[in-house]
Amino acid sequence: MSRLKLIFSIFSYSFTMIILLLALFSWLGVFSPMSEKDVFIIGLMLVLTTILTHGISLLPLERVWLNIVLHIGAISSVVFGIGLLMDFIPATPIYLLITLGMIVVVYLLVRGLLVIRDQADAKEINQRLSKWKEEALREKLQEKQER
Amino acid sequence: MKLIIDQSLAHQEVEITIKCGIIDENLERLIAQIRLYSFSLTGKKDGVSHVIRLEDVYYIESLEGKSFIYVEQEVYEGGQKLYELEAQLASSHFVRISKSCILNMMKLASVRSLLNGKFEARLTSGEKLIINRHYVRALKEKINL
Repeated sequence: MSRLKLIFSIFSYSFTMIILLLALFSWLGVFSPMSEKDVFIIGLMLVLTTILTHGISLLPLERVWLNIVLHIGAISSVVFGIGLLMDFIPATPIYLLITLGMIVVVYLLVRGLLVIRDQADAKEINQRLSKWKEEALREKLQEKQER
Repeated sequence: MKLIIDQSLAHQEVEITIKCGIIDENLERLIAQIRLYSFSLTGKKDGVSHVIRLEDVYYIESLEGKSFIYVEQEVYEGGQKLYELEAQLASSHFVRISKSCILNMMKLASVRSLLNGKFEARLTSGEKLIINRHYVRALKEKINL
């Protein structure tokens, strides 16, 4: 269940950021406005990339940079594969470069959000831990006295 | 003496009730044995079996199908599989933190998040262990979070 929750969180963070970035680029006139079909294509890309990156995260990779390179490689192959096949990304160097830039930015932002969430979890655990230990020791003492 | 064993999947935890008039010497020994079972593990070192108090155990790790019990200075080979120990210790202060490790929460000093999505547990001995994200929820539940 926690795995599904994590996958869903990554999907939600990425989807929100992609839509916001595309809306910004559309407003700036870099991309044409998004249609319903575009939103579904983005959804499909994100489902696949989320599953793929989660699969990579399960690999016993010690080095963080290798993890990042593999993730970005996997995301790029899905985005460019689907994007070019479905005419979502124009096959010109400038659009390919902008798309790659977006992939890197969104990936780093999502990763940053996950790190912030993990830090909050760690802080919460540390704050609770000493109190829980005190309670556990008190219970143990009581048990011993009852014996 | 009557021995009644009520085995059912409905029972979440092993519960032993002793009904007696007086506690004689034999019964006292039996109670001591039961207490020993509940509050200790058996580990082997250099071919000799040792009874290890749960409160002395830092963590239990599984390596190549064998379980190893880590106390402050020593490492003992456990006779049970990690999942069996996990079940036996479910109601104690132990919690699974990765596929191959069960940690005594009383020996946990602090945790910190790592950039690879995992957590690092620092034990009171200064030793560091890796907590997989997947098991963080169970750890939080253990400390009533």
